[in-house]
Amino acid sequence: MRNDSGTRRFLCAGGTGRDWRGQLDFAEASAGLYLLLGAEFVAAVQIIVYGGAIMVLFVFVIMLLNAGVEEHTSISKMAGAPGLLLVVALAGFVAATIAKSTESVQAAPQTGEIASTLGISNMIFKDFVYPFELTSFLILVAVLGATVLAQREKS
Amino acid sequence: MTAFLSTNAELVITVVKIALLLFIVLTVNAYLTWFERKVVAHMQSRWGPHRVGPHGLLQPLADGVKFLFKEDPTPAGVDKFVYYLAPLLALALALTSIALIPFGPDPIRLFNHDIYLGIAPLDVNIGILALFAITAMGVYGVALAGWSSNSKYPLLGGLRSSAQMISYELALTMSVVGVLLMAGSFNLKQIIEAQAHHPERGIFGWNVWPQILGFFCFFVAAVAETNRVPFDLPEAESELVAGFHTEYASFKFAMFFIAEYTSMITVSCLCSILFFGGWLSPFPASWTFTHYLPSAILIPFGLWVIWDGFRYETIFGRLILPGAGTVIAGLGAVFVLFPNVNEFIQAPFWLLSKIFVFLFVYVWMRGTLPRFRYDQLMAFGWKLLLPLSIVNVIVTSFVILARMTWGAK
Amino acid sequence: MVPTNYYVILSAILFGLGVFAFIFKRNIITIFMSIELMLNAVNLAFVAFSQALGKLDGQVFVLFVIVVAASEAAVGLGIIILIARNRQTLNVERVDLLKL
Repeated sequence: MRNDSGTRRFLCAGGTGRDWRGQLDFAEASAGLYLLLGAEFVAAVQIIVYGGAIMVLFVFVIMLLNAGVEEHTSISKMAGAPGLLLVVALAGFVAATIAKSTESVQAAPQTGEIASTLGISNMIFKDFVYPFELTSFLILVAVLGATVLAQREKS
Repeated sequence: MTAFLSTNAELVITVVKIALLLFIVLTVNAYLTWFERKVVAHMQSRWGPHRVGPHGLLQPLADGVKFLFKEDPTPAGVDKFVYYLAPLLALALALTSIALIPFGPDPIRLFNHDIYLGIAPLDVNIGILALFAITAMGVYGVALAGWSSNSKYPLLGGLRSSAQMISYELALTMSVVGVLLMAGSFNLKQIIEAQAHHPERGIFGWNVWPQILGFFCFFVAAVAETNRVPFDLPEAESELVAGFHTEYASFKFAMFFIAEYTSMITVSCLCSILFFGGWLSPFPASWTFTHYLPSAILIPFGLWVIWDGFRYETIFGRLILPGAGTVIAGLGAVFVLFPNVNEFIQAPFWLLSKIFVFLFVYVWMRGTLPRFRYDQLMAFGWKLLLPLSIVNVIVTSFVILARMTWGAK
Repeated sequence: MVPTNYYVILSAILFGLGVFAFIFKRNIITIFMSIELMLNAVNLAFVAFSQALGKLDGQVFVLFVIVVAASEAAVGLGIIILIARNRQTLNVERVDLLKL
């Protein structure tokens, strides 16, 4: 472990640390938005999984690789022009689509008869049980993959 | 002024409840440290603090003053924002989790408003899930504290501690699934009411009997989550070498300290609510004479305190203790004399006693058990506790399915 | 009641920001986080429409997306650690052994 400037300026200066903080704030803000939309189960799951697990994983990786401070490089020139074009095109397309739908989808009043959790669990275990079991298999594959990847060389 | 109060009544009530609960929780924390020192000391055949005020009761006050007046240096080279953020985050999250706990089902009727005991409304549909969300975020306080201190040992201690916390979080959440399957809801109030299905069973209707495995997993995982003995290697490193809060001095260290004790309180609340019936009395509902138990405990205790105060050594003790004893005995007398009040305080009384029992078990473990080595700790969490909690879920699901298929046994 | 359009526009903006960061940034961890940003933006759109239409399908799909994002983050970060160990750098432009 080096006591170098990387440690010091982990989350203050620009670079990965700041990006991580932004990502965490965004995950929490998303959870707040989900609560406002009446999706309480999804909000709680978002905080637990995104904010409590995925972001912790990122923090560990950033710590281990001492990646706090990014190299001060300019924006990649090679991806400059086509990239900018692509982003503008994407944003323009989406904005045009949204603007064209003049009658916005009327927000159905929250009946609140079936609580979000109960309804979601009904759907997961009745209609979507097959994808649900597949995701458990996916998680198993990911765990195995991450374990294998993180092993040290046996040399 | 009264117009403002009447239109924003909910807001004002909530703010007052928050202030009151904050005050109560912080005081309980302070006296929990006193309690711990006394109990551990008596287990080790010595007296704990007994000089600073009668029976050492003013020791937390002295400690608080010490924390305020100690120098609070900031080491060179630390990342200032994160260094200040980490203890704040830990403390804020720990205190927030107390807001989600209901302390009683019945409201107090005051000024035409129903005031419920507990800050969050009683019908939070995701009660326990929100509590786990807050617990999940608690890892950050430790990890960021370890990283922002510009030093090797806090970094290692922080990494180890956060790895320990996220490992035991899995077992923690899985061990509760059995209870949730039985209760059918995340709502804490409904979990308690599911244990009151057969009011004549009293203590035998609680969740701990069918879910003994789940309770074991939950309690052990919760102790590991709160970094207490026997899982406090990241902290004990500070006694041996260093820990994640090495570089933290007086008040910031106090914040970590308070956060740890507050999470102890939260875990005790959760254990009582999920497995031990929350605010339900252990006696069958038909034994109404047991409603006088609070008074039966408080009045003799108050009288004992008075008697002990009369023959105490210091003058201060001879003044304070009889006063405190009178208050306690008076409270017990009030409960006897006013049946409405007596009915009302049954629920909080039982919940608070169960919380007290769990806190005592925490402190008891502190005084008795040696601590795990780090690799033993991780092996225990992943190889024993997590499979056990999964087995608990499977067995519970099968039993519930069998009951549904072949009728209630 | 916030009109659904606002949520969808927000989701689109966030997605655009994610794409922007993905294309222009060179630190591999930042690129990875921009992927998470895009997934989150899509989640927001799903939940907004779920509330608008009164059905819960959107929220169920959000759960699947979160699961996929988590597994992808786990494996991807493992790969990132390996790359950082082997190439001693986190700049994607330096990981160019296969380039002509």
